[in-house]
Amino acid sequence: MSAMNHSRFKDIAGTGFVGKNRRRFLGMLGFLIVGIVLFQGKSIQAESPDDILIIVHTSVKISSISLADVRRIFLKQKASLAGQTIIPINARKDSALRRQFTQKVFGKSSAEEQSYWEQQKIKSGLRPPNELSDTIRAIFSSKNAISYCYRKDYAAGVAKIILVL
Amino acid sequence: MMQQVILTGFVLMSLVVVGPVSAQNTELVSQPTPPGETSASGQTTIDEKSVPTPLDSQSVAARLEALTAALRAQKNETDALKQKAVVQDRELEKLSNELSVMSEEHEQISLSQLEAEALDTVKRFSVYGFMDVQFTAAFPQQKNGSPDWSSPIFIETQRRSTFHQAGVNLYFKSELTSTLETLVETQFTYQPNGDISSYPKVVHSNGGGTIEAGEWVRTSTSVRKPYSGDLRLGGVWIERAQIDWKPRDWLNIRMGRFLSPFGIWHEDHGSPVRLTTHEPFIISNNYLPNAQTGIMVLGKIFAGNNADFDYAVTLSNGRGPADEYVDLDSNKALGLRARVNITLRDFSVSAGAYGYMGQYTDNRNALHVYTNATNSGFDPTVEQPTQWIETVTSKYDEKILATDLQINFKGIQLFGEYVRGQKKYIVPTEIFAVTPLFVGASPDVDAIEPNQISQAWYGVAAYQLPFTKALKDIKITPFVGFDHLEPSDVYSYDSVSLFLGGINVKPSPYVTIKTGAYCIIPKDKTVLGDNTWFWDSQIAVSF
Repeated sequence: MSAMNHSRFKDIAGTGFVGKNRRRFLGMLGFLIVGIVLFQGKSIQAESPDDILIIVHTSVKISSISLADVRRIFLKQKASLAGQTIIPINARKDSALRRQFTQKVFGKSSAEEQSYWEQQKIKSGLRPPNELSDTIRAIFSSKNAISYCYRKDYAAGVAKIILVL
Repeated sequence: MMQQVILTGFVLMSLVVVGPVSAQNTELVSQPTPPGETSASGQTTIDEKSVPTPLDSQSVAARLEALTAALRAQKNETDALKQKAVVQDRELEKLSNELSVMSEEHEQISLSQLEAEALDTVKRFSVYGFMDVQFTAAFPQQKNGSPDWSSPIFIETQRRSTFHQAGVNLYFKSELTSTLETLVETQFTYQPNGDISSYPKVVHSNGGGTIEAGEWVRTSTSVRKPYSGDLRLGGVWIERAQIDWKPRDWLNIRMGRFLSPFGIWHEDHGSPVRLTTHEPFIISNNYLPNAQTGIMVLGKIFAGNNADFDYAVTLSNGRGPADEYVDLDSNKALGLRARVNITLRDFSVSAGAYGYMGQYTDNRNALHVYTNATNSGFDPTVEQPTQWIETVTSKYDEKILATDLQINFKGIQLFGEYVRGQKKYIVPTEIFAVTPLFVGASPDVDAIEPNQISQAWYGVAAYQLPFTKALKDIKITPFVGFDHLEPSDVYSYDSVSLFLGGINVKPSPYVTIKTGAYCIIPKDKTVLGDNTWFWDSQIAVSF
């Protein structure tokens, strides 16, 4: 295998690709890296203990989720993912975690979120997701559940991370 | 060296003395057991040929050495096994400790029974509701120095200033399984007490005389309590009572009494949610049935991260005098709702439509009995001498199209609806019509309701002031709007327009305070009088 690579490299070197286009190639590579840094800056940000992780019970089949779907699930507009029923569990509404989650996902304050649920109850009888102070324990014990926690509180194996906010 | 010599001598002596006995024993044992193998008693058999004779000292020494070596090897093996056992014991203890720690961790991370019950998503039952109190004042045009209340525009509840309360709405919600739930919404209302079910129409002819039809009927539910004063009985109105089975986001089957799926104002439904106090003409004129009894299939389909599509198909009894529980014709009403919602950051738009077609039927039943000539028995000439005979008193087909549009952008709300309805009579309702006067004909006591097309529309613009944070989550939203009604294309005299403006304040998620003014502008002022102003204030609370 390494011999093959070596011969390919030699071949490329032999055709003069490296010599002639090296500067252009490196330029493109640099441009690509800068582009990734600029547009996907978040993905290479250092992990912070205060990151909010979207976590699911280990029985949930999906391995990633979009922010739009997180919003829909926690607003109870969507109740399944990839054909699997999904049950949202919120942190207590007076917790910092819940406030930050509500702001990041819905762009709303806690009072605005509460107002939204009061309206939904009257309009369509829709009730907000259940709440528990320890969302990790809730996820560990509830099949098909989805919730969120701080990275610093997460313990490997207890739940599956599907998105970092 | 000396020790070896002594040991060898001792072993030789032992063999001389013990040898024959051992050989005898070996004989006995060796018969059933093959040489060199272990017997059932655990003794090792020795090949007879290998048993050294007492005189064969060399082979005895060799044998002794072999046995000593074997003994040492066995001792070493035993020591190794003992050491292994010690190591295994330690490992076992370590594993046991780990298991104990894991059990404790599992216990810590698992939910308590109370917590698990709090999270339980099935069999959750909840009761909640809302209510409101409103104050309305009308400011009619002055006539001869005093307000003129005679305009037909004033229905009784709008005359003068009055406090009023529609009722108290209570919800009963039960989530039976993760896909099955029920919702019952009731309104405890003061009605039917005070309801005016009929009023007289009196035509005064300039030529002398009057034409009068109808009578004043005000319902009274006043009853005397056995040991104290009177009380007025109210009613319980079941606004909706539905069973929902929702196996998928795109498939929800709803059965029972459900709200008709149209518009914005109607879906907002309750006073704590609605922006203004004024109810649009689309709603107050019952263009579409408020609720229907039957089956509705609805769902939501997501298209990417920014768009979704709602649909609903309704099949119901349609409208009738008691459509909640009986359809007086076999023609079921059919409806189709479609709505698209698009959200792009702070901007969102949704556009929807609902088409409905159904048949209204009212009838009268009488039991007819056919007797013989002497009234002493049934008429033998009639095949069925007792019969229910049904007479249809009113029947019409209706087709209605309702559309709605809502745009939100950074606190700005724009929304509006348009409804157009067509009524085609099959058995027209008899009415006392004064309307022929508009076309130069006489009032008609026995007139019939004509086929007609009606339409109405409204639009509202509102802006939530950007001081919510500064005001500690108090939302203040001023609004302006217009409303227009054309009840009939046959007689256009009762078309009206309305302009409104006001403010909506939400000091908490549970409380909504609204106040506003609106002006009704009749199209034909000779019939409905001049422009009239109203002022409304309302406080609505959800609980």
